Amino acid sequence: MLANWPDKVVDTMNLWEVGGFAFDALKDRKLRSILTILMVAIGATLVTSLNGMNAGFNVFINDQLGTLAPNVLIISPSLGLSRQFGPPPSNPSTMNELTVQTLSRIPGVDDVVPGYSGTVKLTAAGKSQNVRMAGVDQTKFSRVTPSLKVAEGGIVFPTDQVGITLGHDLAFPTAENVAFAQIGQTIRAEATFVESGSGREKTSVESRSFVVRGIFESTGNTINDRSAFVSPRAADTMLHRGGKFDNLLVVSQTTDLNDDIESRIKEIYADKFQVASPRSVVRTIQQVLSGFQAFTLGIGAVSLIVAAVGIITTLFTSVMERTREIGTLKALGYNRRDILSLFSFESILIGVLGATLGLLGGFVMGRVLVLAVRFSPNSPKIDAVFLPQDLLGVWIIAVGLSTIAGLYPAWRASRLDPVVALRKE
Amino acid sequence: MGEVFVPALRSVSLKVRQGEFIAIVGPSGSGKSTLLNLLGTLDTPSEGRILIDGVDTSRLREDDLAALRNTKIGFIFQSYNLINRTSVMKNVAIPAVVKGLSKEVREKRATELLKMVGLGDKIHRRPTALSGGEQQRVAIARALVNEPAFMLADEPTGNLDSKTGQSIIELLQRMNRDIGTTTVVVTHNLELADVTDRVIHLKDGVVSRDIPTTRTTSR
Repeated sequence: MLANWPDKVVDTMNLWEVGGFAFDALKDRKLRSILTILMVAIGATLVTSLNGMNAGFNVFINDQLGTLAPNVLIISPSLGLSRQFGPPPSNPSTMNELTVQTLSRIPGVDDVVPGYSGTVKLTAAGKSQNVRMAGVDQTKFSRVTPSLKVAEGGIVFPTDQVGITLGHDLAFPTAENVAFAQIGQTIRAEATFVESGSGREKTSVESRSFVVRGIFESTGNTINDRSAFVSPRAADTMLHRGGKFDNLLVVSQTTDLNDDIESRIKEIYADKFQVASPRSVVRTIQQVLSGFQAFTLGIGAVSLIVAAVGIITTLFTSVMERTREIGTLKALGYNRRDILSLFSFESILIGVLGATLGLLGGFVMGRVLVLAVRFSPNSPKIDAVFLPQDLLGVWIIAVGLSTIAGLYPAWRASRLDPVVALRKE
Repeated sequence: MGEVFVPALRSVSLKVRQGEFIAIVGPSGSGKSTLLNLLGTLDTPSEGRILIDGVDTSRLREDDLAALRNTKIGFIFQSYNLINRTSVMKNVAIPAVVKGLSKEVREKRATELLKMVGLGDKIHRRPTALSGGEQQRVAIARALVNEPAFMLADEPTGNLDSKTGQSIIELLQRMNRDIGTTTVVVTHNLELADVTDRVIHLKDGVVSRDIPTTRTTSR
């Protein structure tokens, strides 16, 4: 329609100009803009830190249970929890050599590795630690716990009654610079037993000396890294088990057979024993965790939605206050698209600044949150994990929500009648 | 009770020639501002046509009207309508931004115009740091930045004392004379009306008188 006018220009403002205009407008209402940006930042901080913490928990759990080979089933005596409202198990759930032989005969079972475990006090060169002692055939570590590799020295063979191997964190306590014990060093182990008989409790102490044969590499698994390993026979004597195993590791020929073997074990022993595979344990824990994660992320999402409502309020107030300015701009030749761009860019700017601040805040808060569960040197080493795709996702969601929140006020601004807008005092 | 339709203007027929300096006067409610808004394409007539350079503005889309206002029309308001958060120079350059002029050209033009209106030394100040008369000078420079075909001023001296108002009248007169921009001013100020080429009297939405002034006859 304007073709006969040579200097007709309907150019849209470039990004820099729109950005500069929007930034000036935000700067003009400093306090309100800062508070709105903070709302977005708090939302993004919450989501980022909770995401980081959740990812950290997942990594931790995988580290803990991923040390066992996938074709291993863990058998332990049932605690009878399922029967707490009914009669107790007919037989005490004990696991002995007969159990090992029975399990070995189940089709698909390749090997059964029995083990003892209990708490002992280890003393070396005047320093003591309470640790888990495990008695297990260490020649089978490569099959059941492949991540447990010898860093120094060697393993303890089943016939060795005095040899001991140490987990990495037990040998090199993180809180101290000096090693707890070295290869060839003699260390003392003490186990305390409380026995009740004829109405009196009697305390006895089993004390034995061991020679350090080897030290394992760090596995990331807190339990293994802080354990001492001896031969099954030595553990049986040390822990007064009388041939009753604390756990059995059933090695299946292939991982696919795990479910069949598990069913067969339940058929034979009903609920006397608990059967778990590392994969099922991880799955169960992750299911519980994912529920928790959905809840925590829900809280974060709600805070982001609150921030979006904050942006709508801020921009609406801004549109109301700047009605005459909008009228003036329209009189000076700004079209609807220009006005829409100017106001939308303000919400985008709030989103970008808030989301970026939120990511930085999330890094800090995520670390603080995991520190809260790591208050002592022996606490599990959980670290917040910030995955790039998670960070990018949070940033995009925060900026996207801010942009969407700003669209309606911006649209209202662009639709203002210039005559009415110019009359506004 | 239904809505009652009251026309603000009736049977107004007006031709504005290039380079003219026109004053529209009349009592409050006579339709002066409505006429100005119609000329400025901010409002559309319920009946009739407005032709600018032969183009019927009622047939233009909203974006085309915005482009028309940007390139052909300069607005001056009674309350100056400057954006206080930004500098005087940026205020003057605001219409040039959507025209698509480069930053250098915008700043050069804005600086020249600010010198012409006597504010060459205050280009980096905020409007709030200026007096009312100076702010209106900034608004005049802004109205001229895109070299419009005509300027529309709504009570440009309405918020100013008589001395400052006089200086604004002289400035508008000088711009009209030196640059040749057609100027239409709505005013109550008879001194301003006196210096124009033609005074259009409006009463109850009707042009009651349309007379050339002594300035025209003495030309």
